[in-house]
Amino acid sequence: MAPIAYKNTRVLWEDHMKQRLTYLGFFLTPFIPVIFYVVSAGTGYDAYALSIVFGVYAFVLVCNQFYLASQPAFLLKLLSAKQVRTLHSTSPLLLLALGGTHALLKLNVGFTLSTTQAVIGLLAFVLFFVGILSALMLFANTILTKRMAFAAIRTNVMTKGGLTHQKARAMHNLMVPTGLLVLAHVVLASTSDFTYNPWGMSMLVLWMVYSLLSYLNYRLSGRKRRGT
Amino acid sequence: MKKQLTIVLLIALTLPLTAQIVPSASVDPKVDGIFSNQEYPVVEQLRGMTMGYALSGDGQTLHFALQAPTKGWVSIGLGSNRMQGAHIVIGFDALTSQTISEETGRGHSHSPSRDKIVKQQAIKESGNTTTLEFSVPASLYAGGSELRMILAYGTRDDLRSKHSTYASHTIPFTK
Repeated sequence: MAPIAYKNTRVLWEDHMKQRLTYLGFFLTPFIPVIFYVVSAGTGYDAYALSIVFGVYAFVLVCNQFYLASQPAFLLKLLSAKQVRTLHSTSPLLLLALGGTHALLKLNVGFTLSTTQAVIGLLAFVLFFVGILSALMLFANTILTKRMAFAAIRTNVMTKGGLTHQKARAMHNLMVPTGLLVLAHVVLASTSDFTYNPWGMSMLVLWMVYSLLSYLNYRLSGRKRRGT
Repeated sequence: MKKQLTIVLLIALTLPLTAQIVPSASVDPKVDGIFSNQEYPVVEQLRGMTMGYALSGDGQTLHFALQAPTKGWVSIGLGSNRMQGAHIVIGFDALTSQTISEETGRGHSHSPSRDKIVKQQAIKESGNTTTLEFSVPASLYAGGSELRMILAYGTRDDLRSKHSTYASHTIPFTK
């Protein structure tokens, strides 16, 4: 019995380490394009550089949202389906905080909402805010869901809005065009100029395209298969 | 009395320094958006652009002019050989209206500057060329041994589109 018990403990420990490393990778990998962006901008350490850090990090989180929503088999080997869903439902809060700070820092150093690129960014932020808030209110399973008062509000909103769980989830797909909007915002940024920053820019565009395609593939063909 | 004397001495020492950083024109350039012959004692050709600069007769003002082969925006950035950190004076002549803005270079972009240093400014489009002229207090840049700058122009009448040509240049001070 002893060797089996030892093995089980080791397997558990290995799983635990794998999960830790996966979370670490999830939150550290956005720094790879961040480094490319900051170095290519050559700004030094100032508010503008910080705005780049927050903006690029937030964008990678947006891409990750689509990737997480596609329930990738690779990730499901490392984390449980519940953990993937939890990551998908909690990281938007970080995304909003980073996106909002990015915008405030840009405004602080004198940038204005006078360009198409900035307006697209604002629009994407507002749509993400509404999308995330409505998901939180209507169908996401969070710590709030277990509270009676919140459940009552949710039921009330769903009834008055004539919504079903399926309809609310379908509405959440509006995040896909919003993802394309934020991609346009990033591509139009001066820091994404291919001449100065080919690697950083390519990373972000490819990661967004791959994440969106993964999600579309999941929605169109893979949902049932992966669910089993 | 001693303090006042020190201040007078410091000013007296500073004046000749600022007065020598770049050549002066016999007559101070007229900031009117027209790059006239002999208006600037130093004229440089940089990637199709013509730049002139001069120190005013009293040594207090630095005059700059940039003529570029464009109907769009024209710009001079002072204090750096790249956009980051440069104090950028950028403008365009939309014929019915002229726009000139002082901006701070940030990475590969720029945003309106909080510090306004330009004393006089003018921009004029004539044929296929646009000329930007402006002046700034010489004391702002007299501290070093050179003045680094960037020059650029774009094809559109705005302040945000990317340059079509740019050049960097360093003016060595003669002091």
